[in-house]
Amino acid sequence: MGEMPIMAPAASEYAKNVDVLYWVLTALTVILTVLVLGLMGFLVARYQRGNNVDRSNPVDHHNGLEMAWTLPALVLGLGIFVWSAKLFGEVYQPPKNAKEIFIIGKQWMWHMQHANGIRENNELHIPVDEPVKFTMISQDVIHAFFIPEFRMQRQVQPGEYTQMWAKPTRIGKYHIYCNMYCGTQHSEMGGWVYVMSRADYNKWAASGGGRAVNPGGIEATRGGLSLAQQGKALYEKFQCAGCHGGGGSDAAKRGPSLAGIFGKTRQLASGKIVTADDAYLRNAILYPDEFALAGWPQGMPSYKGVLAEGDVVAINAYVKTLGTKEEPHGGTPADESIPASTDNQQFRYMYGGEQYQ
Amino acid sequence: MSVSTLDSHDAPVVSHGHTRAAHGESPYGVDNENYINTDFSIKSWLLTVDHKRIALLYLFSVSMFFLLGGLAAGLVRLELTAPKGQILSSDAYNRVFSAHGIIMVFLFLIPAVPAILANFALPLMIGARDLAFPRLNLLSWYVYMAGGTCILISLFSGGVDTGWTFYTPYSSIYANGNVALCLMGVFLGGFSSIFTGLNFIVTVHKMRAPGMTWFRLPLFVWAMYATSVIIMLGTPVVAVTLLVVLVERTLGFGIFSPELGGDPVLFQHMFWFYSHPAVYIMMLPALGIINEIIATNCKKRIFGYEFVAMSSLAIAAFGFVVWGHHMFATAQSMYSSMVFSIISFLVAVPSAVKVFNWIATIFKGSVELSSHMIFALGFIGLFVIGGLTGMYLAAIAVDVHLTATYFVVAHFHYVMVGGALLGFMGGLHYWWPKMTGRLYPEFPAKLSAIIQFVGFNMTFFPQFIVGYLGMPRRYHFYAPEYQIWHVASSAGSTVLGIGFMMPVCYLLWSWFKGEKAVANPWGAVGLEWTIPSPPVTHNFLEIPVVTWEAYEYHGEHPAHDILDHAHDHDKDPQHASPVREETHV
Amino acid sequence: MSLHALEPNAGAEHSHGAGQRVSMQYENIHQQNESYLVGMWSFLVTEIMFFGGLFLAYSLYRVMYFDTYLEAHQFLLQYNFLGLMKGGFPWLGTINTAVLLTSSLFMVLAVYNAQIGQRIKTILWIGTVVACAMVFMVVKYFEYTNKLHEGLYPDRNFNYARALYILKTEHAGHDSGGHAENPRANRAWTAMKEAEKAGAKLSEEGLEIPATQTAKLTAGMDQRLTSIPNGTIAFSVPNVAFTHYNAEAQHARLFMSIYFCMTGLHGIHVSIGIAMMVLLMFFYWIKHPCVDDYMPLEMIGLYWHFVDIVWIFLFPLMYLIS
Repeated sequence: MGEMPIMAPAASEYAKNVDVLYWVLTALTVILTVLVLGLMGFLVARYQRGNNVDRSNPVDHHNGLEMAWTLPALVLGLGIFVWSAKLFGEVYQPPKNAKEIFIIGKQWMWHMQHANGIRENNELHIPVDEPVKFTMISQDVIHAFFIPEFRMQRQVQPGEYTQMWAKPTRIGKYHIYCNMYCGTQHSEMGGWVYVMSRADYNKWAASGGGRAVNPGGIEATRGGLSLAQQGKALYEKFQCAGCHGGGGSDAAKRGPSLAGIFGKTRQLASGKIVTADDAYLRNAILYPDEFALAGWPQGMPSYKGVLAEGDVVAINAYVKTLGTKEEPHGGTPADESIPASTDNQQFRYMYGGEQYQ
Repeated sequence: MSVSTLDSHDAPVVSHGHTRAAHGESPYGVDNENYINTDFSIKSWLLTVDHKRIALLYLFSVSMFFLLGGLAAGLVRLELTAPKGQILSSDAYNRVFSAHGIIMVFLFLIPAVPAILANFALPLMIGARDLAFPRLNLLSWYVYMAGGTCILISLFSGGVDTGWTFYTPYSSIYANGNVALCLMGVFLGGFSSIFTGLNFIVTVHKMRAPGMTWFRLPLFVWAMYATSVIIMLGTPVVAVTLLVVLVERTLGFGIFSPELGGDPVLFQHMFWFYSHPAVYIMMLPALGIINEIIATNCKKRIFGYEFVAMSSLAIAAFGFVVWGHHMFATAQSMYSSMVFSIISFLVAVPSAVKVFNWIATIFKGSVELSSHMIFALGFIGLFVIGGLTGMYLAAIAVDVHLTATYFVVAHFHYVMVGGALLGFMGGLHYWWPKMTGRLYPEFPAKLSAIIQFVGFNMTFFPQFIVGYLGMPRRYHFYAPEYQIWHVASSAGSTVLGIGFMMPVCYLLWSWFKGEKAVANPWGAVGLEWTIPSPPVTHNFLEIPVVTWEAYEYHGEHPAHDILDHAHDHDKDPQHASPVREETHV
Repeated sequence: MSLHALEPNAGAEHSHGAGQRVSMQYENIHQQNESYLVGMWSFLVTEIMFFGGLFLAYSLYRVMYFDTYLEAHQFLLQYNFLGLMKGGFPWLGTINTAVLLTSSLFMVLAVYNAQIGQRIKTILWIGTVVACAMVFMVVKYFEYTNKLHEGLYPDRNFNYARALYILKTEHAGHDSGGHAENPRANRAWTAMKEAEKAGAKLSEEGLEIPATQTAKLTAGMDQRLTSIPNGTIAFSVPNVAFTHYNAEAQHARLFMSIYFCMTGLHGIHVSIGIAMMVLLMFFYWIKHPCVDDYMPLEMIGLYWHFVDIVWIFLFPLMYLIS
């Protein structure tokens, strides 16, 4: 970009659509401002005291005229509403085939978990032209996950999943910001999203989140197992199979089988009917009493405070594979521990003088 | 109500124990006694129940807080000239921008017009001797000062780094600093404005002079009435919300803290239920002032009076059902977001009605480009830009990108600083001669109006651009590509700062050295201009009977006498006498 | 300080009404009285919005966590009032409701007597209202201390499991099982009871289990308790078995938070009412000019009725959930 950037590149489908609306709004704003202020300036100049102009028969009300500016304002407003609402309808409604990425926010870093088990801090690598879905939760205060080049953000709340999705269309390196004030290092809680070609992405994934692709940033830490495999390990560690049965569709003894439940509707003991999505699975694990399934004795303990949000995400990923043919797969070797970078190094990393490509 | 004495204005009017009136040539007394010089003791000021004196107390204290908030703003702008500012630590920066927000919103913008200008002018405009509850009015000032003191102490003892929005769970659990005391201060400030609003509502309902029907009220009074309704309905909700946060912080409860089972989004709903209408608490009075200034400077009745009056009420009503547009990016359901979006667009309609009616008023008017008129025209300019950029934010799809970026910062500064502050400045200049009895020098006033307008645009226009680029608000460090716009903005802010310092100088100077003002220096119609400048303690010796419509510049009505003789008043003080009976319709 | 000392010109003579003073800003007594009334009603609207915020929070959580509300409100029905009253009926709440309703009637009588100029009777009736208000506050005091003793203070140390245990064991009438409508409380109780049978003792932290008994105990207990490592079953340890109650505790804590906030705020209003009424009695006693007129009492009467009405809403919402 030049010396005085006025637009960040539009790097997703949604961004392009928003930009069109943005420019239309800008054109409207300019036209209306010039019209209104021009008219005002003209009238002020013309009817200055002392000017010899016709001031006879001044009018001080005219209902037709009032309607003449009320109705167009109304129609204009409603028109823009319809347009923007239609666009907005997409942004928080991910398509089925979207690649899933879990994002956990905490003071003051972003932690990303890919389905293939790769974990990254403050960095996100995604392939171009493929929809990705972000499922986000916070461990402490409210954050907001914001990628300006995708023209979208959403608050990341403690205790509740929020989602948004994007289909990146432009290869490049873009900002990630936290856009909800979260304390001392709020302005340093950010990083980069790397949109890569499929080939580069495969290479990156094969190397377990390779440094070769990303020489500038903090190294992405690599998970040894895919997310679902990690989930399987946790599933076994906490003896979930004792009640819910194992990987197959075998009937469980004390709890409902989890095989193939993802995406199905479930009736709760309270009579409510819910879809078994990520939020439901999380709630059922953390608050089993409220989300007890109809027809089963309620004996499941709560795992609130036992499982971290990241663990829940992994177990969810495993549960989704239950009852399907595919075994949890993927996985690249690496260590599990993720150092939180809270020192000032992060600033250099985030704002190291890097410009848009 | 007795009307018998109204037919002869030159007979000494004896009323309400104001015995001096009987002695002088003018019914207002020989020695030019007025509300300011009637008593100079400190006690007479601190225990005054005169709405005009309380307005001056407010003027002084609110200005002090404005200077403090402005200082914080200056620090913020200075720090942001470099991507990695070196003057402040991140902790200090967060405290400074929070101080700026909290002081400006709760201690300046909300009380500025209601507690200063309306407190002074509203009773005069409707022909009342005072507000309905003078002691409550004084109490509101003390409560305001108590709240302000709490906030100041909290800012200087540990500081507050929550921003003015106090979002939970950050404010209730994670923030360190003196949040509890600050919340107490905001709570008290809220009660101060509730008292003021209550006073205005009762005063407008019950204290109007005979003949002053609802649709003869000046539009500023309508705007203040709408504002007071908002204050009465909205302020208690935020008061209790902040009270709960206070309880969470001090007693450890968890109504809004997810860790303890609460719902942080509920806080946002309750906070914005008030804080969105609060924007109109800041805006509506300024919109009202513009009506007065334009009518006076065009010598013409405001076009579409009823529409403008009703648009104030419409804005107040809509203001209560759009709070969700601050929360498009939260977990709020898509459909409620859409409902809030469409209602937000509807707010544009009454706002547009006002602007167009003002412009129509100028048509065939006799425009005097006085300093307050320049403020008003500048106000319209900024209000149009601020209003139109509001459309970007009401459009949900665009808001998903723009919310909580500098675009929002620029937008609300256009509306609240460009709007409310320039409106306040205009009103202050407009009523200054009435308040102090002195005329300020016109040239520096015009100059400062222009400098403020230019400086304002220089400061905040770049922020629209940097906002669309994606610069988040409340960021201490930022990406280097944004720097150019921040430097431009900071440069503009120095111009703006100069623009704000100028009135402080020449207004203060004029108070002591300025030319004495006549009763009606602008040739306005309106009851406040029929009494001397400055007014006597109880405003009107005899309550006037109103027989004409608002802003009746054309047609035969008694104010024209005053208008015609506006310039020889000082020679013949009797023309300043209250309005006489008038039989025409 | 006299309320009128602040008004330099308040002495303006208006000859309306017997002994009623008209402040200088008003034309006549009617305007003044109407202004007072409009002002007071507007203030009450503000007060409604003030409480409204909390009612909103209450309703929202009630819809979301109705079961817990149902369960936790039992705590308001269980208390030990000086050893006199026990049991599953909201005696304290009922007493307070009755007291407050009656006081409203007395307030009407006080205003009536003020209107007809019966000074002594006015003072007496206000005194009765104050007495009722005091009774209300005393009962409230016992209610609060009772809750605090049971560990129901809703902060981080909120001890729901312990409170449930006490609810089931100490308060009469529920020793043998608990409520059919309340399965979770039953489970908590059962778990505790099993531990107690094995020789555990109740302390602040939890059930202390004698070391010798641990093995036997864990063998015979609910499976969910077997992972307890040492001799104490704490009431809220971060452990799989007991997080069960912690999750519950989250919502129960919300209920108690709202209970304390709302009744506390109401209590503050009652206290302010008491202070104002005592002041007014004093003014009547010394024949202060500001009470020549009945309007001040009328205003406080309106306020008092409002406080009463808030309680009328609070009582069923807090004590009578079903």
